[in-house]
Amino acid sequence: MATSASGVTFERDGGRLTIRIAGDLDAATVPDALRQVMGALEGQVDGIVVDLSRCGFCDSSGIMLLFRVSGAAEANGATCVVTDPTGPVRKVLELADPNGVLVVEPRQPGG
Amino acid sequence: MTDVTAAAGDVVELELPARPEVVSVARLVIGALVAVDPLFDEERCADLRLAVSEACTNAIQAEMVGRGRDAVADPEAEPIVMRCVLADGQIEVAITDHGGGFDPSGLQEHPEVTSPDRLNYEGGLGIPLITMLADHLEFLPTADGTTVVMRFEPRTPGLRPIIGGAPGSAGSSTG
Repeated sequence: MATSASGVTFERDGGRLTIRIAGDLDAATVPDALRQVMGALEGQVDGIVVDLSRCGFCDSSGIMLLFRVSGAAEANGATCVVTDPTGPVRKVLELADPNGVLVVEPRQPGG
Repeated sequence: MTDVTAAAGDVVELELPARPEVVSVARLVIGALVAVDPLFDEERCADLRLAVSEACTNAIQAEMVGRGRDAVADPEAEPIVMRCVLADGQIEVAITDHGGGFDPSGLQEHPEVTSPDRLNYEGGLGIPLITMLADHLEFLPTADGTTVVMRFEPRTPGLRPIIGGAPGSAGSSTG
């Protein structure tokens, strides 16, 4: 049976943590992805970049993951930027977050 | 992409075990069906995939809440059913669960997306998203659950923000 799949990788550069999410973010993949991400946030982090350039699908489960990351960053005085969402993912972000709680930017230079 | 041969008036019905892993299967099927209809462009196809993902997720969660999380792994558990009808330039998708019933008005108790308290809620975005994506949305109670009926037309509807928009308020009815 085909199932959702997502991969989460992390890159630290000083206080900056880049989270790269590949594959789908849905009810099947988000619980494990969320555990990994929240674990990575336990260290000292000044800024978080969530790279969605390789995320092909995101539903409300994924949106809630992004809200969680953003909320955790804010609670710790860190910044959080979501970068380079693909077309369908960008649309979900626009629909679910019309007031821009999440900071979304195109791919950052060198990112 | 999966090869699918479908024509107007065709009905495709799929039974899926009520497990999160099958949500991607439902997306795959609806994506393949929509791709058959040239009236539905790539963006509209993505709309259907998202709406179906949300509806199936809700159906699975209803089963979890209604029968207990352990029951989801029960081989005797009833499947969720996805029924797709392609007719007259539109696509209707119905998702049926056996989770014991669903009150969509309860979703309005969630804080707004912009509220910090919103982070304390795991769900609640799915139905508002479907409302924005579907041209018609209806909740039909069944003997032991709910059937969510979504109808889609080719044109992308105007985007309706979640803030201030009650679930099921746009071209929809709840029952």
